[in-house]
Amino acid sequence: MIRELSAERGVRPWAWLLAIVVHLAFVAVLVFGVAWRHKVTAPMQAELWDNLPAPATVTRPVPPTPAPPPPPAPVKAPEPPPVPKAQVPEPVKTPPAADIGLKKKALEREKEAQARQQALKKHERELAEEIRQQRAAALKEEEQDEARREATEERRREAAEVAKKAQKAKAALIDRYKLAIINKIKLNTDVPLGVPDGLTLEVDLTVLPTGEILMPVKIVKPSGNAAYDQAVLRGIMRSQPLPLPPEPELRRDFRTTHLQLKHEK
Amino acid sequence: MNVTTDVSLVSLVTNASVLVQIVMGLLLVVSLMSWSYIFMKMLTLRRARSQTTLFEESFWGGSDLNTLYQRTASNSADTGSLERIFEAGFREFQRHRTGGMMDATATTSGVQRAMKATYQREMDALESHLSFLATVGSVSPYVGLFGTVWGIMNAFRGLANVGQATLAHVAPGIAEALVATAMGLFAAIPAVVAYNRYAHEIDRLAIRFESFMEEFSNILQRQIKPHNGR
Repeated sequence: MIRELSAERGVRPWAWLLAIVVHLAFVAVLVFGVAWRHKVTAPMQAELWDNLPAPATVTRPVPPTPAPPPPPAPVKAPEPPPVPKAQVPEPVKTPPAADIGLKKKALEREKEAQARQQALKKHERELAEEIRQQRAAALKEEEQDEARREATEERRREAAEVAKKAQKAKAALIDRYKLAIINKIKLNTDVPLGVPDGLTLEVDLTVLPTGEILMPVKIVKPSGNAAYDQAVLRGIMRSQPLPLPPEPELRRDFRTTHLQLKHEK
Repeated sequence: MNVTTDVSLVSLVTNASVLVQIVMGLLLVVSLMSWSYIFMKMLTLRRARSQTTLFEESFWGGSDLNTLYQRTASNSADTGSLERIFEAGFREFQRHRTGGMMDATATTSGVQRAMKATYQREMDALESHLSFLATVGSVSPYVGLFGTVWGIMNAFRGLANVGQATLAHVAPGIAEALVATAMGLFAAIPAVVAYNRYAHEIDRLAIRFESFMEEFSNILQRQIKPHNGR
């Protein structure tokens, strides 16, 4: 049986109080002083590009312009109607010697003939005029046609050019993102010591639109150094999610990505 | 996406498994008790030291043994260990004297036995709870370690169900398990320090008591002789 000092009994409440104070102080220091709060911010990533391709031409590949309607068959200029041969009636030869009556008659006839001739001539002129007008109209139409055809041709050429340019910009963009992916992988790869310079590893990745990599990663062409290959594969796994373009159309192109990773110091 | 891992101490304790929480509660109680004993011993030992010094001063200050005895017997509530030893020895001596059997060896040995008994009782009282501190100092790290091992076992068992294991899956479990070890160490370190220190202080007090007992019995023996020769 433990016998206590009488003095100990008087001290006991104080001891307990002090013990509780010590614990409260310690807990307070731990809780309020040492807040074990880790705020891990996702690493920020910036891509520096010296020039940006116009996103509009890239994001919306120019839809193939519908083939211009076949140019209307050139309207055949209507065959000028056969010029009616002006049948110039032979001037009635009047006998030089004729009596007045005859002469009068002859004069009258001559006059008549002249009038007829004039009418004929007028008719002829009118016809010619008409033909000329028709011809001019046809020519004009043909010209317009030609212009229209040329315009559509031009448009088609332009569209093709724009499409080609868009394709080119898209390819450039894809290349840039590929470069970004490779850079990220390189950042995440711990190349083991003793790996010679200039090793090249080619892999095929299956990339989900979220930037995650579907296993397994296919090694198309090993570098010849197994340690390096393994390190790169680990680096690839560590690089998830891969930096993908924000446009879903472009992301689709990364579904299967072929990468060439070259080791250089 | 910001990954915010809020690992506050409170959440670590509240999220721990039941057994770990029991261990932590046990350690908290043990720590409270050991700290209360630490303070208790601190205060009583300081008092015992000062009382011993005070009594030694008054004893060797040349005051009469009888008046000293009267004084200590009258206010027994406020006496120290050394006073009680003196009181026991002197009471035995007086009993021998009033009984008229002043055989030197018998009186001396009787006085010594009486003082020895009181001394042992006082030492036992002084050393009370020290064994508790020793036990806390040696066992509570193991108790905390047990809680930690259990918590880590649970953390890894939970890990088995996760397909892709990352550090983030295990880390909270291990952290909350390690809190148990931290608490065990928190209870153990002061207990060990206090135990060593108080054991040393009690040893010094015991040496003072023993030397006083020897000297006091010598003084009493000297008092017997002239009495005998009279």
